[in-house]
Amino acid sequence: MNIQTIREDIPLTRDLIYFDNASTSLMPSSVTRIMEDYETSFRSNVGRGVHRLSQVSSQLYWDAHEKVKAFIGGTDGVSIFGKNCTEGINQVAYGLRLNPGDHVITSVLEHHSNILPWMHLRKQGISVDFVRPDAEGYLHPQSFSELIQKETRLITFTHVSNVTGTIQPAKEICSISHDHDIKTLLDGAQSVPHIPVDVSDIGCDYLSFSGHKMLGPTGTGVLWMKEPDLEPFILGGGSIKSVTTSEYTLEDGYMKYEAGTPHITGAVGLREAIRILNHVGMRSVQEHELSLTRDIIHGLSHIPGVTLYGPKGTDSRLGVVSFTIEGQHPHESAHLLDDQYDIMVRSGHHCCMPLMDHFAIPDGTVRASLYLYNTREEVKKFLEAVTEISEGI
Amino acid sequence: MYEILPCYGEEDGVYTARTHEVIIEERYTIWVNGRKILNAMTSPTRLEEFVIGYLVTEGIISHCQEIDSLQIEGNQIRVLTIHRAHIRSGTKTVLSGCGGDSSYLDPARLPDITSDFQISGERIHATIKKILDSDLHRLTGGIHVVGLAGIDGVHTVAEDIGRHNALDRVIGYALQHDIDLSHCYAVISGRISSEMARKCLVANIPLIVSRGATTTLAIHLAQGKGLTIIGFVRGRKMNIYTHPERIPGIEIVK
Repeated sequence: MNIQTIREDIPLTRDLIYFDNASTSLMPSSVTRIMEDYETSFRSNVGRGVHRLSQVSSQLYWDAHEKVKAFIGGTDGVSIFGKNCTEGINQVAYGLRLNPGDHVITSVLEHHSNILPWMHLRKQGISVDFVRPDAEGYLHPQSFSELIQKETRLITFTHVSNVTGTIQPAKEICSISHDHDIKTLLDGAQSVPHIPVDVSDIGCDYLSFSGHKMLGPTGTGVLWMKEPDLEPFILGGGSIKSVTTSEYTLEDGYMKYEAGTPHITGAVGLREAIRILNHVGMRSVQEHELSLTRDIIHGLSHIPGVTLYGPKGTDSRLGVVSFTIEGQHPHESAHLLDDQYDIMVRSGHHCCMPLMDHFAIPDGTVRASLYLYNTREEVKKFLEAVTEISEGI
Repeated sequence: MYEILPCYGEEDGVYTARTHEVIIEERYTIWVNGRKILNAMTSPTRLEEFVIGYLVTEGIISHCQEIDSLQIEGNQIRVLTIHRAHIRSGTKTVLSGCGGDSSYLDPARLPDITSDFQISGERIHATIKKILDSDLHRLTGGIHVVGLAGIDGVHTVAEDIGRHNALDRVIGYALQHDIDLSHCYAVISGRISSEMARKCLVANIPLIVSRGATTTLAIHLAQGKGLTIIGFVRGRKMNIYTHPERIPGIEIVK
């Protein structure tokens, strides 16, 4: 993998160290250019247009869906676009049409986006249980088995934690779920951008993820469905085959779920982002990030006053590292890293308040999260900075 | 590839109701960069290869990598090329038999064959037999067969209601599979027309072989551009019309 080539296409990497990739990745200029080219040369609506611009737009938009499906090994399923991973999860929560008495299992490890939609369903008489992770942030398949009831309709969990970086045994959990005829929703926000993900191997029914964490534009998200068996979240133009004043027939495939004019330019950008990731190779992305993660964990664990959260080892984990510096609020550490060292990290609860409660870290953590364009040199500077901050220099 | 349909058969003046295997012909519309460029009447198989081969032999693209997206939706085939500015106008219909295909390309600007490929007459006899032995043709009597072979044997065989379409298919196959066309020869069941010769020139296939006839225009085109045309390959005979130097052992008469 040629990191330098990628960095040259991302101007911000020349100015600062960006370690907030679990939140949003940077976007290569080539993605911006493709989007600009689309806007200036082909801008038009998708769907029903006969003219050539609409034909090009419609095909690009369709092809973006195809590329996304292929990227996650889900060519037999349907991928629908929304504005982010959260929207995809909400589409599942709405579209399953759960009934009072139905039961959902999620986990304490989840991002708020994979908790709130389910808690909201409690108001409709649906019960929700939470699996608790172990001390390192791993979810154990057995913990799910123990919570399964005959009313359980869905098991949902994050593929990779956005706090601890732990990769969950998704295949095993999905297997248990299917043994009980229970649908599975995987939150792939942190996994799809960083590791090879193959839904046909994992065996999940739904996978949701965001484009803005994987070199794509903000406002792009994907929900992949093995079968298009969910009720659409929204209805309207573009999602129907026919309408009379007494009835309507919905379109097939992704169009059924994407009423209204979609974020076409975003889809064009996401398509280009996927092309870049395919070109680099997701295995290479994973190996590169893991190699840097080893350095970070090794380095941080030798700095006095620094506490690491999550796994101590580097197996089954990603380049998301949470830590705190003794006597310092995580926001203060993040501010100093930005202000004094031009290093961007995230601090606080990372949209995971239940997990922070579980780990008893009320102020949250500092989180450094990596991507394919980060370098060993940046890791070295980061470790030097944390050392100085922890020493009060 | 075929449907069994009712018909009346006649034998010695006696008419009886029966069925027969009839080859399927479908109409496809091909769009490139939002413009309709072709209504093609063709067999409903290997459409991706057909489109790639067609786009190459029409000079719209020069290799597969120039295709940014290929969408087959019912009878609509849509292609986006990397260079989307390349938008052509007009439509045309490829008729199912022959003579219906008229290229946009100017014959005077067709490329010369660049190849040192040679193949023995003996090998050609063996290959043509292998390629043209078609069960579907025996069953329906309604298809053309085109094969692509190299020094090591047959790469692929395509069957279609039109030989131009079948040739496009094998060219598309070669491009998809990274086969060097300059070291291949095309084997066809029907007549070698100027259009078939033209497609070979654009694709840089140095030799085209048929068990049928060729035409004066095809020979004229091939002669000036380095393409070898061999017709009437039957039994132990063949006629080599142009560039015999590709067949080792021929004593060329000046």
